[in-house]
Amino acid sequence: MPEYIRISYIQLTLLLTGFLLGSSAIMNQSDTARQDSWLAAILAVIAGVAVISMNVWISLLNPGKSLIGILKDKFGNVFGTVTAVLYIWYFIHIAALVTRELAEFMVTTTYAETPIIFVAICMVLVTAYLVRHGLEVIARTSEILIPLLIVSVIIIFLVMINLHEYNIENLLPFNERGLKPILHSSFIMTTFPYGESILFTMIFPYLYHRKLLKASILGVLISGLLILGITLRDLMVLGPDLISRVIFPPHITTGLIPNLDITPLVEVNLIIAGGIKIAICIFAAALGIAQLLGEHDHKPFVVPISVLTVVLSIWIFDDILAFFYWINTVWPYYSIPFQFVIPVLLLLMSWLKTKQRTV
Amino acid sequence: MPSWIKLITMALLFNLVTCTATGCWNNQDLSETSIAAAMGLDKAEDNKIELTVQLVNPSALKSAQEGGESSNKASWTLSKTGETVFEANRNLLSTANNKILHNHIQIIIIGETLARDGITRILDFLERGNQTNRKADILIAKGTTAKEILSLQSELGNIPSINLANTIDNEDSIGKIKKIMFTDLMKELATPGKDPAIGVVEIMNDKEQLFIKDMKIEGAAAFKKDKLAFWLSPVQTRGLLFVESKISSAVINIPNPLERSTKVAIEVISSKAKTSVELKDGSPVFNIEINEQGDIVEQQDGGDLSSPEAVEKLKKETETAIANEVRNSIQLALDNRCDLMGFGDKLHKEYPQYWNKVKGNWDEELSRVQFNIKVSSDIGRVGLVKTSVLPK
Repeated sequence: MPEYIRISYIQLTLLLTGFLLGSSAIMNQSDTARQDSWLAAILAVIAGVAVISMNVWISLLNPGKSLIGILKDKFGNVFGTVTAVLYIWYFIHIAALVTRELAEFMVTTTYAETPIIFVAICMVLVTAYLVRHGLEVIARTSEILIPLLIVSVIIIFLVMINLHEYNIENLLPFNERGLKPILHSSFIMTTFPYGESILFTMIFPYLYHRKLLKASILGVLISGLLILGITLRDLMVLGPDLISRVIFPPHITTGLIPNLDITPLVEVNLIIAGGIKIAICIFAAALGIAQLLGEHDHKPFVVPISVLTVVLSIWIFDDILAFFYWINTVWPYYSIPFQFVIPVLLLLMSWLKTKQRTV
Repeated sequence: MPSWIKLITMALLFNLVTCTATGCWNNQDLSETSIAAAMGLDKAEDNKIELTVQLVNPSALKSAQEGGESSNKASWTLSKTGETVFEANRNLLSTANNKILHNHIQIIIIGETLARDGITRILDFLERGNQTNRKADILIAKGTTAKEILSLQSELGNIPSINLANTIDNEDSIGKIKKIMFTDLMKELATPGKDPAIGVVEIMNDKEQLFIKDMKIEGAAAFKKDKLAFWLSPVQTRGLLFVESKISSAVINIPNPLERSTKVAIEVISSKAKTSVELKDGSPVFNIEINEQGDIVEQQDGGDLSSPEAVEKLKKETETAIANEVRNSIQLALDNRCDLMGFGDKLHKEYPQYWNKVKGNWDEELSRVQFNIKVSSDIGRVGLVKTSVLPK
């Protein structure tokens, strides 16, 4: 672990915000909850705070070690290496998913005749450049860009208030079909994006340990508030039926503003947040491989992983319908071992060990 | 790395960025595209769909603006048929010399026969397309085809469909047209317990050469689900708009309290309506409360209407006039088993359990629906004089 890299807490908060916002700024994951999706978003934030606390705690109990080190430490050399490889695969998979989504958005809404792989390559090229320069540069980039994103979300929200586009009756009837669809929807939202914060156990060792928990929870809360704001905005403007049919609700919502075209703002949101997310995923994967092989430098692995990300993003899904089907039905369950089972095991084992030590 | 390699790499990168960052993969010049300003959809033979677009010729527009007498027409219409809207759209290219850009479509006109068959199947193409202007107004061509309407010539202005769009906006200020945006229509179509109403355009005269002034944009077409059911007259449309709080301005003529045969004109400045529902003995009762504010703008024949009693009478008359209009519209809709006012939607939102029981045969329930209308009217300004002149 290179000791000289340090990022500040505000940078961590913003990194986490951008990472969690990711592609949530453009898509709607809560179509099962329909008019209650705002409640699902709130429940997901609460779950998200719990998840990030767990991840921070794992890091705090194993000072100076990243996820790969902790896994090897706790599960032994063989099984630890196997799970570490699985985690690295998982990180690359997340990067590929985000890349695909971003490229699909661009191709569907704006660049109708551009090949999707071209958009994906453009995006990953930039993030690969970013990742090669290390975590400090990613952190500083997010420090500059994420506030822009927050401001643009707020601007769109306020513009819509001014236009009297909001219809609060779209939130009624409350809890029409019982709690089950709401819980299902909030579960999906917990696994994507909040549960993915397990990836930050690769980054936490770069910080001093004092205010880690506070900064992380703040990041989750900011992104949660933004996601809640976006969900409420789209729901009140579009209504429960349209929001469940439309693939990219913010694109339609902003398109309804008369005489003013601020749809590019949505695209900017996406590029900033999605870019930061892809960058962090690739960084975590590259760092993971480097640590697994005992290398000090993650740079040699960045380009191969980026290439893999692009290829995977095109290769894993035939079309956008398969993508959304997979995201909503398979992804949450596929994520359970990575996001909940293994972290809880790690936490328990670390906790028991410290207890033994103190006794 | 030697500095010259760095230099070459930089130069290549620079090239790459300039090539890619300009963004347009399929770059099209304005001179190579045709801009569509309006779209019409009709039912053609063999269950096909006929698509008509009104194209704008930017160069002719420019020369007309500069004062020169343009030999080209500023707009022309094309139509083609196809089994689907998209096919018809592509078939247009066999006539049009350029690719057609749909982003600036102001109006979508749907022919009556197609509207009676159902509009969902033609709207899907527009909803999917990334070129659709979701703020475009929708109109139904009454007794004619959309193609017919779009072939009308304009005398004022150069592009008939822009003229049409402006007329809709003007008409909105007398509250006799149901102006509905594409997105709002899609929302209403999908809302349970709400049937949409769409504005109507029709041709009045029967002449060889028809102009914009020969057509009338008034009233509304009431839909049952997505099928055209019946027509609303302009006044009935206004009754519907009062319930929907979509009156931005309107003229109400009420009998002069002093002399019943003459009229007082009230200009409605603002009107807000609120519909609430309560369950009485297991059946829903809808209460519609309308708060209207109006100015006295005209008084036929003299007389002093400035006393508090007279103003009170004027308010009463206005309230009755509005209440009657609204009642007629609601009754007409209910008689046709059409939920234009969104009573079912209201019920769904307030009493979801009850709605689940009745939604299966809501059509039947509709004919038994009870409603109360309460209008409270305010007189705002009276203009520059207090009382009208009395000839002596």
